[in-house]
Amino acid sequence: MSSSPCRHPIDGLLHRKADGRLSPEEAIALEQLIGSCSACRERAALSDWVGNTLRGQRALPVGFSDRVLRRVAALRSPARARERSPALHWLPATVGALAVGLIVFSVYVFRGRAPLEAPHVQVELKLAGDKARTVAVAGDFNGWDAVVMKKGEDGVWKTRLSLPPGRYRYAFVVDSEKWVADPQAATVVDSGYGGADSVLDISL
Amino acid sequence: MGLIARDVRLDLGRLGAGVILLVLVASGPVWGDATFDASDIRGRLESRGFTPSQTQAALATLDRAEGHGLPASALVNRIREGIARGAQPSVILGVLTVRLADLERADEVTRRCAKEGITVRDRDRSVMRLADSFSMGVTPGDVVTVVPAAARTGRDLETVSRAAEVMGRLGQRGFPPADTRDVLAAATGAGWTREQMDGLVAVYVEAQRLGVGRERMRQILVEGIRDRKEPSHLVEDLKESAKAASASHPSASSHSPNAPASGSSTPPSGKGGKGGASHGPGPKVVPHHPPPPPPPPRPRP
Repeated sequence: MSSSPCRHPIDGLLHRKADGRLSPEEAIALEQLIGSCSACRERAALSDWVGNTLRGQRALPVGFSDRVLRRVAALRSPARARERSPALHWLPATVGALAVGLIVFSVYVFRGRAPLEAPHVQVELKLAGDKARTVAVAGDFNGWDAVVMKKGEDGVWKTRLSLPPGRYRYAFVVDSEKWVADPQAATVVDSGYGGADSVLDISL
Repeated sequence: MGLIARDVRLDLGRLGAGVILLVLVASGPVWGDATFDASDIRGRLESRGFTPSQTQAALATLDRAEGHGLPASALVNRIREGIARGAQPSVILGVLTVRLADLERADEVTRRCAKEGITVRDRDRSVMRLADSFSMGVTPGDVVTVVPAAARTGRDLETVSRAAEVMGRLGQRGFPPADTRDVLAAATGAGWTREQMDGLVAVYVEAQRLGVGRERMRQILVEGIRDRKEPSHLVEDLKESAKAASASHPSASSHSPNAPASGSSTPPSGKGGKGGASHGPGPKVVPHHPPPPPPPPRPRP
């Protein structure tokens, strides 16, 4: 229903009249509007016609409007409840933020590491050096901090490493002074430091 | 309805705001943190006698690598190696510069491969492998030769980088990349495995031992690989070629089977290249000096 074009507050009065709640003062005000304004008169006539038509179809039970209003109020109660509990407003945001935070934290913690389930591969490095007093191996896998190898009865120096898949450079250090590339390595590259590095390329 | 929709919008707005705020706060350490421990590196360098400017230069190199998405660990390891080997700071800085240049060239090749549709898996390791092959004398242009075959047959970046590495190994044994890249492109296109590619080095060494010329060697290998022959069968083909050559070209004084092809000036050294990568004695060069052919019959007057 559109509002009255004359801007008189007749709609509210007509609604209250239809509901049977019009006070004597309001009834006088309504009569004055109907008497003085043609638009209000038409509005009131329309309202009367609608009311009569509806009443002609079926009479509304007593208290019908009140019950409808209570039901409408009940439907809106969740929103009102939330307005009463401001803390709950941020519950979805908090849950979502915690979930994202967990993901970011995981990325941060495990960033740069090998896959958690990546198995290590056993690698044995050997160097024949019967005359050597000590043989150590230094490489990317131990931060180039030389680790002394063990000499077998066959005169071969050996060490066993457990490494994740990757590409590593390394070299042997004989008698703590001489750097030697692994003669069994498939790939040997210039170290740039006056010697050669062997390359260990481990795949699963 | 209007009220409910407004409530939902408010909830979604709060959720979005919370998520964005937390992501920004929590991701600070992730994106802002370096993949290397700068303070540890600084301490190591200073204890090694690096001046503040040298230390700064080294750290700037690492930052640059990281800024380009390159594995800075490859450079950190070179620093650690230099310190372990007792190298002078200037030498370590030089090694870092060269290594970074190789990594950047490898990165360019990697981008080109990706542009050609080649799958990039385990990028860091492939980049390091390519960089190593560059340090062995392979050029990006040599590697690019392999790329079309890899793209055509759905091979990944790892395959391309392994082909480059084998090219480098062959180069160390006296077979320059210009002579071997077509063969490796064929092997890549034929879907050769890592082990088969590794075995190619032995095939070349055997071919050289048999005295097969470089160009003939290249032809036999490319055709054989395209015909899906195994490395062992390729060696058989090379043997047959060597026999045929010795039978049909007994005068080899001007047709030496070991003459370098493609204008290469690198003679077969028979040594394992630098670093002692060869197993035992290197490929032996067999001198081929058959007796000269009889003179043609002189026409009678």
